[in-house]
Amino acid sequence: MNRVIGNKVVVVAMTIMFALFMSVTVLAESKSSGDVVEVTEEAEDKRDEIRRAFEEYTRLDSDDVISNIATGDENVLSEVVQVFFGEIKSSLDLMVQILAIAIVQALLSNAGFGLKRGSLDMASLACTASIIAVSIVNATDVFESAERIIVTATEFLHATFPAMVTLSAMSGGAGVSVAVSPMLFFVAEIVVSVVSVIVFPLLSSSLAFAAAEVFSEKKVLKGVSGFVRKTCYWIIGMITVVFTAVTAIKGIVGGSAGVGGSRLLKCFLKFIPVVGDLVSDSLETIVGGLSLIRSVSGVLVMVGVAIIVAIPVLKMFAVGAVYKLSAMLAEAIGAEQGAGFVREAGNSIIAASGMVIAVGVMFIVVVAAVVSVTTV
Amino acid sequence: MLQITIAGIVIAIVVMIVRELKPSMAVLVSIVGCICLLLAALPYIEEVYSLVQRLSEKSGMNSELLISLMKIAGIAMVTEFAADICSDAGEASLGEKIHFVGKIAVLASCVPVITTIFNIAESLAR
Repeated sequence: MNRVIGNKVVVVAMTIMFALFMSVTVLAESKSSGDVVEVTEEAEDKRDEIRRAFEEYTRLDSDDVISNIATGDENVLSEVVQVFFGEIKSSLDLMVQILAIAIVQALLSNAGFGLKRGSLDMASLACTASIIAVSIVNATDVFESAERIIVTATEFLHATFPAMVTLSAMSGGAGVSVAVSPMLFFVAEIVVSVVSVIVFPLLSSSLAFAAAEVFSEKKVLKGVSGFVRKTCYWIIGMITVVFTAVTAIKGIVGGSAGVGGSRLLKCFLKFIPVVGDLVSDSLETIVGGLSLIRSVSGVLVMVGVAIIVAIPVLKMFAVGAVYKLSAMLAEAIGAEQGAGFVREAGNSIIAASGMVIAVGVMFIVVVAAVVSVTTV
Repeated sequence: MLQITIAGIVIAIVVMIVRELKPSMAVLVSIVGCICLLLAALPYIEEVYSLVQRLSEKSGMNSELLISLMKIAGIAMVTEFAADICSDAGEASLGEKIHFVGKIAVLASCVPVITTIFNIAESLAR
């Protein structure tokens, strides 16, 4: 036990030492006014790099977004509602298709007076198969778009992360930037891989199981689809726990390293004769300015991730809602079997949107971790 | 609908009377009566069909799928109707055969639906 604690102390101490040397190396260079201009220009270059990536991936003007955030744009909520209902409107075609088939199925069910009759039963099964065919195509399209969202968000993070780490290192958090942030980024990458390689295929297979449940009368298959979906929830839950643990480690190691490094550097500079106090004060101003650039860039990246994830997720929720509504109406008309599948598909779509939200939140936390390096 | 109900009752009474007078003709009258009732119900089925067609046109649904579904529904209903008449006439065995033929016809009409599902499964497997 003592050895483990001892090892942890050594790791923390080494990280702090690393942070100190990195901070000294980076910030000591900004002694002269020429160097200050150089550092500021470099920071501005990195900021512009982030802005370009933001505009490329979100197709929005970064200045407008920042000013909207600063002034608190009141139209955001109404736009969100508009997007949601717009997507519901465009998904209504699917609902109408399901209902058209459900009407035919209801006609057949009523022709048989609810009894199982050979050819009527077969025709009813054909209707159920058609409902499944219509709804599975849209559901798989939604899964594909969910995967695309995650890929786009990852690419956006790849495009902005080096600039973010550099900005963070320039403004005094070199230890955290070099040691901890890449670790968080690495964990986020693993999360993306797990979601793309395991979770989404599992969700797709839950649809296949739901279809099998509809056609099979065996009790073994009942509830398999729900179980597979719950497994996806467990996986994402476990991932969240691991991610929270890594973030907590970052909080302990990164926070102490940042504060310790910055304060020790200030004390060290004060020992320099004659100009020590002056350099120490100007250091505070420079780092303050760089921190501002870093914070604005960080906010821009976080907003970028939120925009990339939020709008498609909103659309996915709308499609999920349409599936649920279609299932309800189809059941009311008399197509119970098909309605069961449509409900399962709706649940899987909502689960997929939950996965995308989880990945988006993790990305935002990674960016926030890079941005939240303590200032001098 | 009231006319169909009254016609049904009248046919039943006629069948009862004919059965008393000439039992061999009663089945024939019953079959004719059933066909008349089915023909009377056709406008209602047509109404449902046009509703489904309108809905599918508006939603941009695959027309081939809808046509095959309607065909399947038609075959199934006619098969049931014919099998029921045979059973009522005391020809249960013939009714079963009609059921069998109906099932094969429904299965044959399911080809577009089955093809659609196979195509989806194939695209999912990729």
